[in-house]
Amino acid sequence: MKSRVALCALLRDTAGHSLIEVTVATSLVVSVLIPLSGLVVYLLNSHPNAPHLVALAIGEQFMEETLHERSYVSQHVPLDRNRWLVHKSVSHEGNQVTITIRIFRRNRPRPLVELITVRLLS
Amino acid sequence: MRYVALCHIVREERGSGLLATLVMITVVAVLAGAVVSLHLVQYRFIRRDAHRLQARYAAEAGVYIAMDSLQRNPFWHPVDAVVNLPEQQTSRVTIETFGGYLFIRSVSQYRRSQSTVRALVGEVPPADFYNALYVWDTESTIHVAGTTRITGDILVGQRGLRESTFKRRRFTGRVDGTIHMIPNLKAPFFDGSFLQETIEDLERYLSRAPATPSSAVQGLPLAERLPSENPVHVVAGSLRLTEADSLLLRDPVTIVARGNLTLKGPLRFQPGTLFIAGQALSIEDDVAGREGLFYGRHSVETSGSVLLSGQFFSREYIRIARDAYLEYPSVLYVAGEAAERGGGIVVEDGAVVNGSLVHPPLDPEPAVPQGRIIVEPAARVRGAVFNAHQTEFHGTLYGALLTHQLYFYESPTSYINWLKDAEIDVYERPIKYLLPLRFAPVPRLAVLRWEAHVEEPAAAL
Repeated sequence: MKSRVALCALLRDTAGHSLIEVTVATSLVVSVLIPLSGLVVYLLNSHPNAPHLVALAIGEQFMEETLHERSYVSQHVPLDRNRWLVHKSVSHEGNQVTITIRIFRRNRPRPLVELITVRLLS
Repeated sequence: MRYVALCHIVREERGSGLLATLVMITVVAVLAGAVVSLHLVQYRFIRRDAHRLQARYAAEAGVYIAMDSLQRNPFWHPVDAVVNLPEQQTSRVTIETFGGYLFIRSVSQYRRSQSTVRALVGEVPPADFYNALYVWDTESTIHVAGTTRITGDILVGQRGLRESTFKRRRFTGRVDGTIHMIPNLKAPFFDGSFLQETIEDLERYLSRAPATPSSAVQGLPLAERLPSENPVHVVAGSLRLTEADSLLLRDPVTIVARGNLTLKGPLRFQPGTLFIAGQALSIEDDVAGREGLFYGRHSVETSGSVLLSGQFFSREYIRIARDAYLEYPSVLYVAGEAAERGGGIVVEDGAVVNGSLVHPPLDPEPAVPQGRIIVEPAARVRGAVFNAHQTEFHGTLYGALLTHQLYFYESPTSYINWLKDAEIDVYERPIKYLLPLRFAPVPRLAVLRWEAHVEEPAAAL
């Protein structure tokens, strides 16, 4: 009862309202902006242009094409106005062919995606 | 007292600027942290996708390395071997025979992702199977008569092949292909030990009930399980499975009846299911499924509309009745021992078999070949027929016919090495057709079907 009276008195008294407004605004910002920023980040990353997704898609596509067409030859392929570089290296040992696909972003020394598998020469 | 002091602070706005600034800084920090952590989470998801993909390629690599080892040493038979892959990766490989084919299961791990693949593996047909007709009985001329059409090369002995009039009916068919006449033409290579071992493995189920695998093995996803991990159900006498037993066949199982075994449709079975009968195995009416294995020591017979892919094994007799449609990759195999009792394989009018008919030699050079493969006029086979005995062929074959002798009877005469009203076209055979194993001294293996790609977190997680 005592606390209710105090709260009513506090609301009637405009002094200190700006602090309350700041607190309420902060709560609103926190409760709205955090999920919103999460959504933005999610959309950015799940966008087809997210670097790792693009690298993964390029890597898988190159690997599947290599396996399907049996093009067991090493090559470097620049893609999308040199934004991406695909390194396909093929090494032979007996009847086994080891295929390594590495996807690099421009001016980055480390590959974003690296895929390795083995097939047999027919 | 403390409450009164707080109210006083709230009413007094002095110092609230610092508080507001601190709150705002905290909010900004929280937001920035949230953005970074969300970004990291998203990044980890993508990395996990990449690791899963790499684990799958590693598992596939394990299958190919195992195939390479098998090609170099066909008797390499690891139960549970660890295969080394490039970049210090490994794959755990299990190889198991399944009828005339092999199952290779490969499990690989990359970082925290694990992938399991199961491949059904067969043999690439050797050169002899690219002929339409190969008859290695060199004692007589091969006669083609009636409406016989052959498309593809022909290998026969030095007496050659002749288009002949049969009972005043002129030859109206055609032969499109080169006829190679080879003196002392030998039978194509075939190592029957592999398929014979399969029959011995199946016989083992009949002689002693194998223990049902542990519940841990049975708990594996179906797509990962190998036939040896099936629950085994053994019946001492005869058994008849009907629609009421559908629940039993919901998972791959091994059904063993020491007497007769009858499957009465409607019934559906799962890939990798084994049906084993000590005497006769009968498949009746609407029985469907793929990659089943059927063994009847004395016989395997179908009746009614059967639609399945399966490997049929018997020591004596297999009959595929009209209205049966066997999908690829089916195998009909009768071992040679019972040939003198008139055993063999019969594909009746209207039946379709996509796969291989194999009747191997009891004796590589038999004095009197007796067991037969009979393909009736409206029957169709797409694949290959390999028969070390006599073949009575009147139907359609999209593939290769390799036989010791051709035969048919029309009263009152038995015709040896005559082929009448048959159609053989080797070019119509599907390109990806694979044989059961050991038709070449150095077999070339290929994956017939990838059974599963199962990705899951590694056990270490």
